[in-house]
Amino acid sequence: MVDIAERPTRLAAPTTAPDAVAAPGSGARGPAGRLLGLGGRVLHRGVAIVALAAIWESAPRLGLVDRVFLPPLSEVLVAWWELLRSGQLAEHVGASLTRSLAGLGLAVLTAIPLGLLIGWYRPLAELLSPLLEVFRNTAALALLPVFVLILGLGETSKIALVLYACSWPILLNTIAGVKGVDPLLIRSARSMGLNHLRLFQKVILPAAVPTIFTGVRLAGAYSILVLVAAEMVGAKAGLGYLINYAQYNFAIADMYSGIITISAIGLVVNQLLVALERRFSTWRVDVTAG
Amino acid sequence: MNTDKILFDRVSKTFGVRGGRRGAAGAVTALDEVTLGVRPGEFLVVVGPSGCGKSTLLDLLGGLTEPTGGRVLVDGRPVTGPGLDRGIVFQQYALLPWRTAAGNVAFGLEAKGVPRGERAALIEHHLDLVGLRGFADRYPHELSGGMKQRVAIARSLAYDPDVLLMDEPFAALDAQTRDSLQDELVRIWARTGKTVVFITHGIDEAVYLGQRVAVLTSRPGRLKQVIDIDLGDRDAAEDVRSTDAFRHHRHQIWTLLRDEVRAAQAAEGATGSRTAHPGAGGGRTSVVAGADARRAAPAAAHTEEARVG
Repeated sequence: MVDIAERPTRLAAPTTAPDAVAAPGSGARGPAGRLLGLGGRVLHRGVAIVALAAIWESAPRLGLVDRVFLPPLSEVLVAWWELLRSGQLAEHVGASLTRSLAGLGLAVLTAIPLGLLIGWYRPLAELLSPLLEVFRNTAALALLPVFVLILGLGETSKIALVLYACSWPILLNTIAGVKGVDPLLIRSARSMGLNHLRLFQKVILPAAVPTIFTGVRLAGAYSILVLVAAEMVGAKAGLGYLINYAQYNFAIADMYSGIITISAIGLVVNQLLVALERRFSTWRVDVTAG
Repeated sequence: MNTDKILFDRVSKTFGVRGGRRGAAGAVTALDEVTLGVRPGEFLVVVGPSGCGKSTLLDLLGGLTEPTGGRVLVDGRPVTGPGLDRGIVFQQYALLPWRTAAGNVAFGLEAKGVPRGERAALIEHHLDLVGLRGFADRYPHELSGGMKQRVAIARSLAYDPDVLLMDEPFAALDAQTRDSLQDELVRIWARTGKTVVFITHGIDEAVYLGQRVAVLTSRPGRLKQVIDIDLGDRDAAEDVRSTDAFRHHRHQIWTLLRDEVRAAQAAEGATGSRTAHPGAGGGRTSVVAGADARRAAPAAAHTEEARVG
């Protein structure tokens, strides 16, 4: 969902790596070539965005769509700037980010340990897996009314919903990460007489880190997706509230400003998490190159 | 008996087999009453046709499984579990991919509880010993297969086990790398004085490396014969592999194995359901055909893994 164009670059990495080892210094692509390649790629990937902006700007102006419902991009950007200057945007962004980060943080703190336990203790996995199947196939948003009913309209229900939605990708990836550890590594470590705790600490956990991080990255995206929906119900601040409120008051440009801001935040959060994920899984190229 | 470093005392191992595609449930006897002693400081090679329980022998010695009959003794004491007095080198290296070469060597030292301050010197010494000076900071994915296996050997040597157990360690390598690693292994063995138990299905490898070669029969694995290898003065001969003594021993083992491979194939044919693929059978005959075995090695190794594991 997040990075369709991301994959080829990641897959391309292992094919270049062995060459680099075999003949260091004989890299055909110098720094200049690499810069050119990077520039080209940015340009290539930017084209679609620029095209979207151009269509957004021109379609309402040419009368292809009703400009009341879709104002030209420039007008939206002006409205966005106004929101930013008045400090309203910061307030909404702050409210939203606080909630989503709180939910995501709690999910990381609870789902990773739980996932490690479930992945490690087979009896627990067998006990819980039917339950997990039921819950993970229940859309988080379908539970929003339940959360509101039980936890009220305040912050608690919103953070709880984010926590719930974020827990699944982290939990499932953690379980998969623990279960997916190369059995040979475990055998090898066992042959050195490592006890269960040390085996877990030195082999299982580090081996599972990249998979866990993929889960955290997905959860980061969910945290924002779900939050906006939650904020459309009974909130006094937040980007979801802004969008909904602006639409009710027919401040269409403000509504689009909110939407753009959410996209931007989603992109930034994802990029940050991708960078973090890379940082923790540089060794993983070996696995993909297999 | 007390002179043996390692003693397999009438060791048997049977595996329960689940009923599946391959037929009814039952038990497979991997090893049947194997009695074999290894002297201190000896280089013993175990050869046998695919699925004869070579790897099981090593698992028992490593304490990763328990025998269903008999005893495995190291220094006169029964093996009760894994321990750092025995180091295992696996065919697929088993390096931790998130650790550098040095980090992987450190892993065994951490397991042994060597104080942090003493590790660096030991790591450097053992990477040197396997010829990997200057590669300490490389990650496994940056190393070739031969280099990875060198790291694995360094890791096992670093925590200073008395016994080095090697499970077809060179089977996944190309011929040149394998030859050079064999030379290095002999050199390292001579320098460190470890007792080495080396599992292989390559006859040349067995003759080249072993002081003695134990030949196992096909399933159920029994000890067929133990052959003393005498290649004369290794340093004198330019190419040990082409001496008369080498050829003599190779033929000796080849003859012993030929019948076993036939038996194994017959058994395979009887089980039948697997495949009638010519490649599979061809791979197994070539185990006997000396030089060809090297090319077929990885394929044959995989078949064996699939069958034993």
